[in-house]
Amino acid sequence: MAQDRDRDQKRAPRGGITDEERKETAAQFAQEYADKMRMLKSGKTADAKAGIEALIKDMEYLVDSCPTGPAFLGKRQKYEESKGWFGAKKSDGQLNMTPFKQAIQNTEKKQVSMIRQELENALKRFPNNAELHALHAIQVFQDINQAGIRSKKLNAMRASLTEMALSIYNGCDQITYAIWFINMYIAYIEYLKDRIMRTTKSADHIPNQRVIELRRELHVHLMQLNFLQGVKEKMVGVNRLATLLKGTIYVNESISILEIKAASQMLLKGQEMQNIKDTKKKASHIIYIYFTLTLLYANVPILKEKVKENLINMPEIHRDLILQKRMIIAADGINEFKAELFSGYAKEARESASKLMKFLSDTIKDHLETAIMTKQFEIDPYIKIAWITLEARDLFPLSDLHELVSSAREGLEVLFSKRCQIKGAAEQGRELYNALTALELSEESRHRDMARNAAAEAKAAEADAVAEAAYAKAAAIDMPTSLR
Amino acid sequence: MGGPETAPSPTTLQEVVERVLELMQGRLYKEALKILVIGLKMDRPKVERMITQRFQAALKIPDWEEAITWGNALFRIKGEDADLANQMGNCARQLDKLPLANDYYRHGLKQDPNHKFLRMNLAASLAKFYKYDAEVENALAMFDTVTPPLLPEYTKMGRFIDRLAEDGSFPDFVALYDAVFQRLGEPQLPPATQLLDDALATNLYNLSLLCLKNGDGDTALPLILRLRKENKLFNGLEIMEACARHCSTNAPTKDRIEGLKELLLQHPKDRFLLVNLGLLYREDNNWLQSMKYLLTAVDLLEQSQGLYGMAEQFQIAEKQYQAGEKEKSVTFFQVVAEQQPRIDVYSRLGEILFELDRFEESLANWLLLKEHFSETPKGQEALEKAYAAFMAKADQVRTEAKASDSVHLYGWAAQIKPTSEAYKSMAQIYHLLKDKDRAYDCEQKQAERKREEEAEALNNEREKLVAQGKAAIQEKKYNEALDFLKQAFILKKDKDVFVLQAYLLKNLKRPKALAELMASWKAPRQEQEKTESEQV
Repeated sequence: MAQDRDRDQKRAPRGGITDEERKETAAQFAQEYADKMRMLKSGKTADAKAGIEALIKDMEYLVDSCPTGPAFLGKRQKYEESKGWFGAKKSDGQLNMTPFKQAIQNTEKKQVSMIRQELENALKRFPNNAELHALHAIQVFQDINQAGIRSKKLNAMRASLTEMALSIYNGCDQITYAIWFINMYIAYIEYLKDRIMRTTKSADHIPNQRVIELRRELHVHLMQLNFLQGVKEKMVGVNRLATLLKGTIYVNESISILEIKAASQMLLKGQEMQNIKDTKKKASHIIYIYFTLTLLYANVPILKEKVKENLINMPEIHRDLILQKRMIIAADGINEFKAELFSGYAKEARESASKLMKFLSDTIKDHLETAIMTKQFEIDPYIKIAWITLEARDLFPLSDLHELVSSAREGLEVLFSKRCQIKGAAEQGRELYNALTALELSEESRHRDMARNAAAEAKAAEADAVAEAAYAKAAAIDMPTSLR
Repeated sequence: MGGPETAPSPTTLQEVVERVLELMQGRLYKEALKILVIGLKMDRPKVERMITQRFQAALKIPDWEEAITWGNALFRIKGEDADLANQMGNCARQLDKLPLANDYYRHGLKQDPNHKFLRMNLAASLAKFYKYDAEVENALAMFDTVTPPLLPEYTKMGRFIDRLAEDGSFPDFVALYDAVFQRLGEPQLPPATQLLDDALATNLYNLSLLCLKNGDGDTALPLILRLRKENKLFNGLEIMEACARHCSTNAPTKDRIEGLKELLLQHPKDRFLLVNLGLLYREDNNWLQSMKYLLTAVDLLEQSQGLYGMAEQFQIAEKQYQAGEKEKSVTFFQVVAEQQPRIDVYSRLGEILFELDRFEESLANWLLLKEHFSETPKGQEALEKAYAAFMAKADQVRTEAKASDSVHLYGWAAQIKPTSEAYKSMAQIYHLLKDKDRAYDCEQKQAERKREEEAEALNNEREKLVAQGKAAIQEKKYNEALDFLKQAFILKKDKDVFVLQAYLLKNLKRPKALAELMASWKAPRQEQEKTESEQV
């Protein structure tokens, strides 16, 4: 996808403007912008006040544009129930999606404009069809990239991202759209970061209280955006899945609640390798895809409610399901902890870390105490406890840290025992185990150094006191009797 | 944060059974146990029967996790049953829950102190010996007829003793050893050769064993200490030393136990020490400790296929390697390496694993060798060989167009010996793979390493010239010496070389050359001082 985008960007002329023209416009814009900023900073002209107000408005808009929670998508995440005549629900069973799907692969201008119109018409007829919305969002996203528009680009990107996210909320749970969504999300974050950086730079040295406040706020958001970009690394699992299942029913069809419930029941009966009744989908595949997608969504704060919904839909009738659900909850908790850590909220981060560690310890206590581990998600709590201990090392007092490190290490020892039969788990654990040992040693030596320094200081103070007393005594002796 | 769904408590026995079975199927054991407790209150005999059947079925499969859940429920009803405690202990041990297993065994022993297997299983649990019931009994049976001290066997006689025996001057084995012993006592021995040394050491070892078997610890002790000092690879020198000390003092069992325990801290995997400690505890009527040490020894002996001594293991491993049985020889070498980290063991292991294309394992051995013996010339030589082997293999793989494999091999070679050549090859391959970051890293390392290598080469060259200069002075070839020293001085303005040159020029009465030398000595120093002052 990224390659396509690069190729499209290189293509000239684009959107009716040649590369040279675009460069010229950009230079002109930069010049205007610089003049405006110089004017604002000097504060001498009549337009200065209006300029500052515009800047504040711009900054507030950027703050509002940060995708840090479901509020980014608006108040409602579900489509409104639209009904036909006499209250009957509109059926979209006859809708043929194939041309629209082909259109997002094909960027020939003539065909695209025709299909775009057809898509708009279909959306008017079926405003609650999530897949149509997803395709429309992708179409818009591609248009934004190809046209190279500058004005209101952020707005347009936000609209397409929101439409895509809402389509996921409304049942468009497919590997293909998940990949599209993440690509759009990352592109949006990158553009937003760029805008924030430019705006905060231009707001430097403007002696206005509100500007200063907003600059600080944007700085925190910038750090959060850096962290949110990390979702790119979590794409590995989904990409692998897409490659493995390429051309199969699993990639291009959403998973329904009924399917997931049926798959869970089949897992309980030990029939997970069989197809779900009336479908050609294997129960084990359904469960795996569902959890992989939910785990991916757990790394995107605007999909927080979707993650909750997915977790509720998965019944807790088997340990494997419970452990995977808890793995996703823990991943969500880790994101929260990381966001707090990145934003510099130490107290909140410490609380999140403690809460998370308790949650993971409970998972172990309730489900893994005597388990023979054969699946990766079964070792997840042990690994996560160790990881959090290492990450939160500076948040806890030394006495607590010592206890945390030793319990995390004790937990990791399970990975080296014969109870753990997962290939590569021991190596994974060994790395963390060594890091924890190193942490313990360094903390101990730091503690020892501190104690030694304190002792040396006490000794020096004592020596000083003795010297002072001796000096005072000597001074007192030398002092004439009349003055005493 | 979420938790399992809570269903309403069952009200009838049928509901209890259905719910428990469903939860067990979903591997939700804790929940199932809670429901079982409710069921027990409803109809104890019926539920007890069901639990017993399920417990036995789970043991048969075996599904240890399920078994321990059913067993736990059963244990609430029949807590005084020693057999059940034994089975539960075994279950816990299968799940690697050793403290829990110990608790079950101890509880069982309280109920029935004479239980056939409980004490053996408890000892096995303490020794981390993963066998159960009759298997433990069988393992312990092999020591039934053994009495302490258990000493190693005589080693084969070396060529030296063969020659002496052929001589016919010695009527029997003891006389022969007497002769050897007398010879050892002589202050003026003929110049040592490796063969003679080995032969003497072999006989020294056999002699000390003979002394120990005759109860003469006083004579044996200095011989054993000498062998240990020389770091010879003989079996059971530790236990021999311990026996020699105790033979001479005839110490009580408890003191001997303490002595052996101290030695065991230094050599925790010495099979002789473990067995003797077990036997001494048996003499002292401490059955639990006795079984614990004996079982630990059995575990180790199983790994080394019943062999006590490392020397034999090394020989067998070597023979197997020569016979082409590489996989088997690896197992033996690994056991030796675990107990006696030595250059030859590590390098042999590294070589064999390399030949078997198990490169990462091979690398691990070379790195261990590097960690322990990189300072010794033998160690350096071995590492050099390993580096060359990895580089050659990497080159070969590269020609076969397996870029990612070859880059790994170059990386491993660089781990053994970081050279600019290895980093250069890695950078080239990363460029091919379009991994710019890694390529850049490797280029940086290559440049750094190249600088170091050049400096090293220059230094070696200079040292060689200085050595040649000094040798020429010894031979009174002063002009030649001056030439060498001059060249060395050009490479680096070194104080020692300067002094040597000045000394020679002064004695050769060449004031002009001496003045020039002084000028060239001062010039760079002045420059250096100037730059330093500028920096300040």
